Amino acid sequence: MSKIAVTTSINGDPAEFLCDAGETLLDALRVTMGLTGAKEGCGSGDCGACTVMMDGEMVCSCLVLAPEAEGKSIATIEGVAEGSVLHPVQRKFLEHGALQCGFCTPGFIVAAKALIEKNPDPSESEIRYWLAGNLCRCTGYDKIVRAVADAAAEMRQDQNSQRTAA
Amino acid sequence: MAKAVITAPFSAEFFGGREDHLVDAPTIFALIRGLDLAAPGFAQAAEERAAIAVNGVAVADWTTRLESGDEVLFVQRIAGG
Amino acid sequence: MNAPVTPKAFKVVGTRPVRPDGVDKVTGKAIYGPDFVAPGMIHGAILRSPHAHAKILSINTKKAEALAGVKAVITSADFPGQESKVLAGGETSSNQRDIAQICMADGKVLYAGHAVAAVAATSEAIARAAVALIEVTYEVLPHVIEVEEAIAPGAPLLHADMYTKGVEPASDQPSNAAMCFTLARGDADAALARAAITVTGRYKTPPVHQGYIEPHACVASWNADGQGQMWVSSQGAFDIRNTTAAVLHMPIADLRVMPLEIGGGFGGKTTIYLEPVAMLLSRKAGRPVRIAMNRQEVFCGTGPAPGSVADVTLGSDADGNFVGLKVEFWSQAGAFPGSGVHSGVMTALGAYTVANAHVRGWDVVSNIPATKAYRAPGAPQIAFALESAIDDLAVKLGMDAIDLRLKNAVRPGDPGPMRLPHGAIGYVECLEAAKAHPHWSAPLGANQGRGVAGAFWGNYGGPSTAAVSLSSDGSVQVTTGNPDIGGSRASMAIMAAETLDVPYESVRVAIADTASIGYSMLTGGSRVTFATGKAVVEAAQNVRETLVSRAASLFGVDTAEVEWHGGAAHCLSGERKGESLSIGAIAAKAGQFSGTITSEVSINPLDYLPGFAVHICDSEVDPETGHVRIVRYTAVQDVGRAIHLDYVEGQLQGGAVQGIGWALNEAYVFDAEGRMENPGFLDYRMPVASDLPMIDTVLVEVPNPAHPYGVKGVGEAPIVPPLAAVANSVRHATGIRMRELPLSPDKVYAALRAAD
Repeated sequence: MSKIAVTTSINGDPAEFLCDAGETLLDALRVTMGLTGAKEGCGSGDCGACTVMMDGEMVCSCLVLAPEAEGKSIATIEGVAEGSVLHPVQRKFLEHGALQCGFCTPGFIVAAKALIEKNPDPSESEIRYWLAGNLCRCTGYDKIVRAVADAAAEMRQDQNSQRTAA
Repeated sequence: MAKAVITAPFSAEFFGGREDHLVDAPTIFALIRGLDLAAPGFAQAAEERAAIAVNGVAVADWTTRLESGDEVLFVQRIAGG
Repeated sequence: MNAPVTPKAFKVVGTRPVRPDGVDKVTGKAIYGPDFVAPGMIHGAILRSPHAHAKILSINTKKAEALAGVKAVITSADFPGQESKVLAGGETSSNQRDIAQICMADGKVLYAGHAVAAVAATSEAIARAAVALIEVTYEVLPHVIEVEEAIAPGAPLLHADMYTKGVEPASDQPSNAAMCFTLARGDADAALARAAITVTGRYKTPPVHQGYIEPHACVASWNADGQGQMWVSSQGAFDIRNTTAAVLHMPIADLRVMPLEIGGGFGGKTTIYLEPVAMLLSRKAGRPVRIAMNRQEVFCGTGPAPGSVADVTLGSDADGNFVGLKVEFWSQAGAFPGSGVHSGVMTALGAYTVANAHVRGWDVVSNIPATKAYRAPGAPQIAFALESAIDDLAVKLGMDAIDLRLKNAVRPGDPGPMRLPHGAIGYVECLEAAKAHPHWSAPLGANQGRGVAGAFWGNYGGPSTAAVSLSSDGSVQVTTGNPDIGGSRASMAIMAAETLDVPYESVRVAIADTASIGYSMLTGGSRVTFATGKAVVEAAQNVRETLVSRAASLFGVDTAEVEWHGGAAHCLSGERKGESLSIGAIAAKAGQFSGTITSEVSINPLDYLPGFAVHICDSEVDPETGHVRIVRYTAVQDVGRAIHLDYVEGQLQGGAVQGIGWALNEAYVFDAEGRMENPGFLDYRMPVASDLPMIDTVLVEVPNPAHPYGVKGVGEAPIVPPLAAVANSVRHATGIRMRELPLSPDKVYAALRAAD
């Protein structure tokens, strides 16, 4: 079976890979590209551990075929921090102890960042429903919800002070 | 003399249901050897399945010294996750 | 109210620093079981039985072996012969032959999902294709799923050589009941006959899965010289090593296990499934082999928690003093014996004083995957029955449900379930804190009800090794052998920093592989912060003593004239009185002494204390659909002393939510052929964020005097109360006592209509 060549962008950098027609984007990222931050918890789109962004839309990469990445822009957990500066969502997860085993954490962080970009001031209920596609078995979600709300608050404050400065 | 108190299931398996045994033994090792003489296989069962407490405090070390009147309790070891 | 009740005088203990492994875990860099890659690695896949119970007549692997890219195929014939032998592993022991047969069926399959053969090939796709080419001829046998059926006369037997242990007289008929265990005191029947008020009922819970998000995975490399290595995410690399070596008849030191980050375990990663299979494939192929399960394999091939049936009768006098308790329960062990019967029996007698009790539990095998430990194994099922019965008793007595529990709660000095007197326990303090919490007296809305339930869990200690080493600049390396499953690196760093009186950030913690430090029992039994923590503190104390003694030499005074605080030695007398030497300054002088400062400590502490918890749950029952929504939840627990507040609260919150899932939604569902019908997260419905409110926590601190910082295990107790707390809230909301979990909308709806 001949492979398909895919030209795409991953975390802002041009990327090329070969894949089988039936291969998932998750496998292409994890196995071929060595980006193991996205996890496979179920392979059926139920746990959200494989969450990545594709052209700005949140997707379960286990449900996306690798050839679909052709010409698209993919963003993964590995690209959330800017260099070694953590994104506020990452920092707040640490400050709130919002992870225990940490396996679901990359998916939650990618999803939470997408939420705040869409809705800078989410209510508790909006956070809970947005993250309902991400399973966490360790934390009971309490500290995750607090971390996301706190990150959103900090990002709003930063934007306000930037505006004031400008 | 130390008093060994053997609870279920060991009492039924090895001592016909009898729980209390007086044994002249300076250590837990000696006590268990003595009980094993009376009921062969008890030492192995104790090693594999029993938790041991001396005067109400759980101990792991079978070289623990026993004083006269000490009560040595043998209970089923339990599981955790 | 996320703060401990008791104030304390520590610098680092009881704070919330960022965990040392945190950045790796929020940036996707941490390497978990399925992430590890060995050079030259090939891929394994496992063929699993479609039948719940069948004889294996033949296995033909020729076509699979002939497929291009296939490097090895194995069946049970490749395993060394197994004798029935008890392996000490963790807190309890398992039979080596059973463990081997769970890894690979031998002659008979005992559940749909049982491993039958395995392949290693150059790609996962080829391995899966090859598995499909293996031809197995089965003789399908009648199967049995539920415990009532399994113990009925004439039931199909799983093990022809199994006789019920623990019954008098000894049974001469083989049975699916592997064992029964009884704890009795006084005369329960007579006491119940005399009781002013009695309540009784039969309670049922289905098997539920631990539900860790990371599927099992391992990489194994076994060389021609007999030495092997494995990279595994597990709850304990040492026990995984020992069990795998036993099954493969290897000298233990020939196998080195590297612990990877673990993506949840909850008891389910305390055993082996893939490891000997990957080892045998690797030996045959001459290459490292990875096997990773998918979610369906996790559900069908690994151990859920046992289902249960429990008959409970509880009696009290007219004032609510418990006078008699009778419990008979059956634990659905799955294909092999060993479900949490002992701890279930103990749970029934752990939290309350009752002079007359007869509690008997049966370990019953049936054709579902061999069950495995799940957070406080055996306890939630029994607490569901007992704490529901106590709620019924409170209603009959017209008493406040917390007052009734307070009246009967065990106190320090009362005999524990195994007769050992209780030490410094804090159940009464938990009940009082729950009663004082604003939640207990808050108003309820329409269709809402409030339930409360208590819990006892024994906890554990056991063998642990820890090393503390000073670098030449005075920074501190702590090394343990316990996988960090929920922030334990942070707790170890806190305790070392507190003991050495140095900044938290100057302490770093590593989890060593099995060749790099002495044995530690696995991460489980709520034991790590207690037992491994104790080893860390002892090693840090040794280091501190060495620092003081070296400082005394450097000052030219007696050690009694040196005081240690603020991470430095202070000279109290002589010419250099008032001078100090920092930890770094002393560490740098190692060349003038007998080498670098390091201490490795191996201990086996059993002076742990049990955990007690009280949960309050408000639920709202939709009268139109039967849907139960949790609207408010408070978890109170005696934690001894919280080392890292976030990760202690996190244990309470996570345990509570797992229990809520158990109460409301989770269940293994089997079809008529005995196959699991819901082996995926869509149909096996675990709680998601939108199902839940915030989980409030109250940390009650009654310190354990046997731990330098007062620690009691906290991980398991919080899953014990929620089943009954939820059911009691539904009873309060609807007036209906539901005794069968889960309280899914269909069941609640049916109960509501039946009550109309």
